[in-house]
Amino acid sequence: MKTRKYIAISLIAAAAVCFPLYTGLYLHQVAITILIYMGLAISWDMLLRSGQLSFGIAGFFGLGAYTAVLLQLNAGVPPLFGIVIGGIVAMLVATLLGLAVLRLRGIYFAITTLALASIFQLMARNFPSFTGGVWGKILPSVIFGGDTAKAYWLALGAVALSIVLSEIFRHSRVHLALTSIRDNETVAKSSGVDVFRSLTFAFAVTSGIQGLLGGVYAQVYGFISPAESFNISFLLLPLAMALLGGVYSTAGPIVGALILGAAGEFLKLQIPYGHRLVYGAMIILVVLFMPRGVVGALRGLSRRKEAEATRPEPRPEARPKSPGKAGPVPGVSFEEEAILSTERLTKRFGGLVALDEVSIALSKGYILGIIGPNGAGKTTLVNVISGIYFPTGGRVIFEGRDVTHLPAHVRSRMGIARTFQLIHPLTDLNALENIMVAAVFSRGLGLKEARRKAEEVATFLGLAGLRRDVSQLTALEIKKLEIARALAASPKVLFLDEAMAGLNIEETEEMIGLVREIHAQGIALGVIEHVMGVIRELTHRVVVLDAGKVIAEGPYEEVVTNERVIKAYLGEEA
Amino acid sequence: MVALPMALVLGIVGIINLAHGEFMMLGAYFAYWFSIYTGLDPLVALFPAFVAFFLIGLLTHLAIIRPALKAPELNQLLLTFGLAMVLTELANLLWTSRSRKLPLSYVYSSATIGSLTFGTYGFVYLVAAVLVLIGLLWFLMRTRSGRAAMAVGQNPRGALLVGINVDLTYLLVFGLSIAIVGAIGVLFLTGHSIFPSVGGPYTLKSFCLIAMAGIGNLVGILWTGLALGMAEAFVASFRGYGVWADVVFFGVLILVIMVKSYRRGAG
Repeated sequence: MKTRKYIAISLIAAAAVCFPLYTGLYLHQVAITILIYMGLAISWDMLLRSGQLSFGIAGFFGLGAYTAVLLQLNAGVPPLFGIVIGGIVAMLVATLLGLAVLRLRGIYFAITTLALASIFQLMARNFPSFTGGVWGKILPSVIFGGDTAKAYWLALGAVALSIVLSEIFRHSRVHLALTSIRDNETVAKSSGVDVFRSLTFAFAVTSGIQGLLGGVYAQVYGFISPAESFNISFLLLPLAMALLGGVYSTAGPIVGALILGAAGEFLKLQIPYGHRLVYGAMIILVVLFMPRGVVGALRGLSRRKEAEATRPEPRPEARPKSPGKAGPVPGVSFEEEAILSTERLTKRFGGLVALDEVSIALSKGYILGIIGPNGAGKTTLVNVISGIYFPTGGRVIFEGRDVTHLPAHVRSRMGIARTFQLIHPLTDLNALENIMVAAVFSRGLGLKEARRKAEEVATFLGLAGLRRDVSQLTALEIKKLEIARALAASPKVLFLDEAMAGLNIEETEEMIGLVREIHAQGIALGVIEHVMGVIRELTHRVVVLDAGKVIAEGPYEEVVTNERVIKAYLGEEA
Repeated sequence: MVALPMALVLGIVGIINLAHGEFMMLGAYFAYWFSIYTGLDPLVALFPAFVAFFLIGLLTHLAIIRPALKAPELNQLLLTFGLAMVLTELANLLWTSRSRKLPLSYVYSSATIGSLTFGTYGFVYLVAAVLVLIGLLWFLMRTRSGRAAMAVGQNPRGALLVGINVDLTYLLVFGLSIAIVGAIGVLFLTGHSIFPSVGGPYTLKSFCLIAMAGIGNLVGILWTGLALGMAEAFVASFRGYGVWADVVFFGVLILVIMVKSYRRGAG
């Protein structure tokens, strides 16, 4: 199977390389254009994998084109070298801009990139002495003296580079980072992914490709102008191609570019005005009816066949019951050994005080239960400790260090892990990859080690069938997956936010056993739970929150008989 | 002014319509051909344009927007972007990219106060904007369906539970917004020359205004619209720097988006 795939790829590559030897001038030109669009489509898709939709690719394309041509005209830089510099300039500009605009998401990011591209275009127009103004500049001769076969190979080289980069994106830690960001940024952060850096990296690399292609295009056609080099086609066509072929893959944009490129060339001859109508229509139709594109649809078909052919994987057997109750580690005092503590932690959302000077401490020797009525601030507390929110006041101390202002991914790497009350599996990764995200980014493991670590954690939790899509997991398995992701980060402190909610009695029993074993490994645990039985059986100390305040703290038996706690749960007697 | 109906759709249906300016462009062409064929003043086309674009809006909603309402935001962006392209290119195909303009003498009428002479026709836009704003506010505050629309905008599921036909409200609001834009296109024609890609910048400008004023703040849009318009005119009035007006505009757009998002991040 694998060898056949490699042979096929080599054949296609060989055909692509030999193409100009057997074809004429016109086809060379067509092929070059298609290749350029293909490269753009691939690079656009590469950024889209992080969930960021860029409308700015024409801008970086034009930037590269201008850089390459102006360098040659004004500084006598050789064309090939100029093209490379064009790519580098686009990459640097993207990095700088990215630092500013990559905090934006969704619609805001998309519109901003569109505006940025417009600014580039206007700048090119508004410095006539340097850029040639509205008319642009014309090179004395096109690259390679008009040898279209060589120009074709140049374009092919640029596209090959984007294909290689795209495949690297697909099969390295970048894939885990970008996909987890797209699926759920909060989870990505808590698993140690540096969201901002990953996005800046992806933005810079893809913009660099676009700049490079812009340089190639300008050199092949021998001129630049604001209207041509920044043309909306360089945005519209790649989008349509990538969408038609299927997003989030390398093959998709390639297939899409071949189909639309060939069709577009035909249409251009038929309808000189408005042939781009077809591309717009294509975008609409594909988004509405074929969101996964041609390649995605084909893949879906073959997968369904496979599923019919093979029987579903056997369900993993329930793991054996855990040993009896683990007592507190003897001789360890709660206060002295606190590994993580909060001091007068306060968090306000507008007028709502979600946390009001909350001070708690966690130590290796105890499992700490955190209870309280709905809206008491339990989850907010975990969010502030793990760095999802920053507190309005107070401090978070971890291993003697003030971590109050550190971002979430740094805290994750230091050893603070948490699960989420509302389960957040990363749906575009399979179960194993879900766990690997944390191992790779929190522990900094390589992919192989991370896989081993993930498998180890999964075995410990009794989670099997790791190649499955997350959508095929049962409720218990997803809960376990959440915990596995947290454990893969080899944390020192772990917060379980309602890990038992929604489980039946047997499953809860199993989970309790697991939590004990985790504790026995020397991980300090904070357990948020509504089921009092679980809290009683599992925890050694309990903190009760109500309306953002700690109203009681101590061993379970003490706390439940506390009058304020009873009032908080049952209400004041009228 | 163009931003008002867009704000309506964004605030209530929750979709950002990237084809917004393109509908205005179509409205302008509508008026152009209307006046060419009938020989009447293009302003007469206001009413038929309103009706026609309401219908177009309904159709667009049913065909394209509604199936994507539950889709991820990215899909909606791509979808309306595709729609914008289709409309632009359709205009290109039908009427070519030649720019067109109607010779209307009253557009150049001017008034003189003391030593200041200024064109009066510009005020027509301001008056129209105020009228549209008042009309919209009246619709949203005083009519049954308008209030329903407000409710849907705040919480679609809640509105559904209390018996509001959410689907119908979306349809109505989208149709209304397209109708208004179409009518604005008619007005636009009287003062500007038109060509197929004339709408694009207005989509962006509208979005900018909404971002500045805050989603749902219709009155604020009028003020920020005035402010931005003046700032642009100010830059354009410097001899030799007129070409920078658009740069300033896009700069302001980016700045506004950034400031807004940082503030949101902090609060």
